[in-house]
Amino acid sequence: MSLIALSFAYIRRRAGSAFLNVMLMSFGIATITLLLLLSVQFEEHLYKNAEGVDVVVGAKGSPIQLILSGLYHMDSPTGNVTLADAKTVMNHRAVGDVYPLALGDSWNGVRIVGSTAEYMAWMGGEIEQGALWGHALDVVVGADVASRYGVALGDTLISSHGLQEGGMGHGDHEMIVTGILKRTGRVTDRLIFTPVETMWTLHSYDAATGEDDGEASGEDEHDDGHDHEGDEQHDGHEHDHSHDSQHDSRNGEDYSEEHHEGAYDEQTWLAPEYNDKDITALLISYATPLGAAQFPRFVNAETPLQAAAPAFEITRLMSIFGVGMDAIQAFGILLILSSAVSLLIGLMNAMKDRAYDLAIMRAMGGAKWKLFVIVLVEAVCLSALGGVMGLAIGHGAMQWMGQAFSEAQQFNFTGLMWVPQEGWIMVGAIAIGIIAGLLPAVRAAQTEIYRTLAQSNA
Amino acid sequence: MFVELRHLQHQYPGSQTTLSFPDTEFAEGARHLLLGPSGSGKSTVLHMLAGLLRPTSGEIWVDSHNLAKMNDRALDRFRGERMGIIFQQHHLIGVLSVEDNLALASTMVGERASKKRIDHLLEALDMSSERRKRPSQLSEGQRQRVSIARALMNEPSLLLADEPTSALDDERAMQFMGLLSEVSESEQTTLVVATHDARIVPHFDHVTRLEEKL
Repeated sequence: MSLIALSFAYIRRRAGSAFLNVMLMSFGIATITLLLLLSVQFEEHLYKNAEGVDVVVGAKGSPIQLILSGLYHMDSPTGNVTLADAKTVMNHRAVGDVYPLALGDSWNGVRIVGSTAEYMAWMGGEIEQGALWGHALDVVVGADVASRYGVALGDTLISSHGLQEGGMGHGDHEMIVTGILKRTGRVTDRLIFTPVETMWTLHSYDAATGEDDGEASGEDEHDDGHDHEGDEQHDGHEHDHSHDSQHDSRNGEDYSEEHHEGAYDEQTWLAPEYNDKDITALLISYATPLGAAQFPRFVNAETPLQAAAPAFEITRLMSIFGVGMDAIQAFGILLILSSAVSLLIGLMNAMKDRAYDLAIMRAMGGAKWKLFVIVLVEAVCLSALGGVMGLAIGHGAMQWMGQAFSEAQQFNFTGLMWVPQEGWIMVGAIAIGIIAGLLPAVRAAQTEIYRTLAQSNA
Repeated sequence: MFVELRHLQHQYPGSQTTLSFPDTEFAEGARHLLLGPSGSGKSTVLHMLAGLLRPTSGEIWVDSHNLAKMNDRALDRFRGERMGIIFQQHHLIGVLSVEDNLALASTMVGERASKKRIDHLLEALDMSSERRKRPSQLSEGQRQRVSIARALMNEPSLLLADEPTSALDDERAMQFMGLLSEVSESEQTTLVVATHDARIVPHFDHVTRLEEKL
């Protein structure tokens, strides 16, 4: 019979009240844990996906929107910029590596990203089946896209304007799947990659009729009077064709073949004749650390473009995100404080019920500190149990949310990870148990043996 | 254990009356009765003897220790290791089984409970078959036996009982005293009982009569 065993025996006796204490504590801890896991993973994903990119350049507008659309494929692009303007920026001495992005089209709601093979590799894309594109209108699909929609090599896809399902289709141009990527667990799994020229090709049909100049379809371009008459000629459904035969049937310009005979070249999009074409953004890494001081000012002041620094915008985003997080966190803390008060009241009432037990223990030679410990252990056990359950519920909820909303989110969230700060959550839970148990424990230690026992004989 | 009370007085806080007690000696291994009506201070003496109550003045010698001068921690330890107390209300710990109630007596003095000692006491008091029961599952008589066993758990030299038979009818009072006398003798314990119940006088070697003071 140890003091801890005695504490547990008392916990069992007031199981209902103890259960309430534990549940309140665990819900509070679970809320805090869930927020912690969410914010840590969110921030980690944001920084991880921005690794190697010092600045994003695009059309003027919201810098956060530019970062979200350009780096994380989460928001609509701010618009398009001409390749000529983009080249002005690219030629700056501070610029190191550059990835072009032509965005704004989608297939079944899946974003199509016009860029280079280097960009796809930077995003973690690695070919599992098939091969990289060889021409404009060739596409490589992410693992989730392939599995969810049953996309196979050689399938043809018809893109549509905008990033949501149901946009006006580019029925005149069918894209051919030449490769499927390995699963990465990142946003790459949910994208379709293609050369920049694909985006120009998709928009060149109308150019042939004098109604489109063959530019990438950044979101703010969608309402600019595109005429989609050509859509009527296609039913918008997928068709299975062989890769080679499909190439022969393409409409409009084919930039990779028509303008550059032979093997596809990653640099073709930089050819001077495309200077009037549009792209959406440039992901840039600086050639030297000094670039951070000069380049953004140059872009913002001397070009019609804007430069947004991911590090700065992520911090800003996290602070905006943090407002909502703080509100939910406050709710979690309120629950924990409620559990502390509930624990305190429960133990104080228990001390009244246990007055004779405590007096007898003292009469049996039990030192005051032993009675203090019995009550404190009881409080700490309940709060620690609430802490452990809260962590388990928090992780379970995170895992469930990660799976339930995996299709809707661009980042993969998991509950199967441990964040070091969770150790502090447990320390906090135990500290709350100690604080809540302190007063009842002192009262137990101060039990007056003679007076208490005399009352029982009265 | 030899016990001696000298010039013992006690005044309860807020009371105008000071209780004075006759100098008394309790011989080692004998059975002593403090007999007196309500208000005579017999329970007060017993509680001072147990170290549960501090005397206002005087000395309580137990062997070579003056309890009146001991600090709280030493007194707690001394009481737990060398005294056993039986109360009118048994005050068994309701959340514990019979055997755990006995083990708790050892736990309170920082010792590991001896299973052998528990077995011996429960057998001596014919409670072996009830060892896993909770106090609420026992009869009044069984609870009394458990309270005796608990008081004897740490092999005390001095066994104190406060009004142990007051609520019992004649037959049960005699049964209880027979049992208490038997176990105190077998355990070679000095027995001191405080009561107003004159029925149990024949069970004692020495009787100290206290007069009503309040």
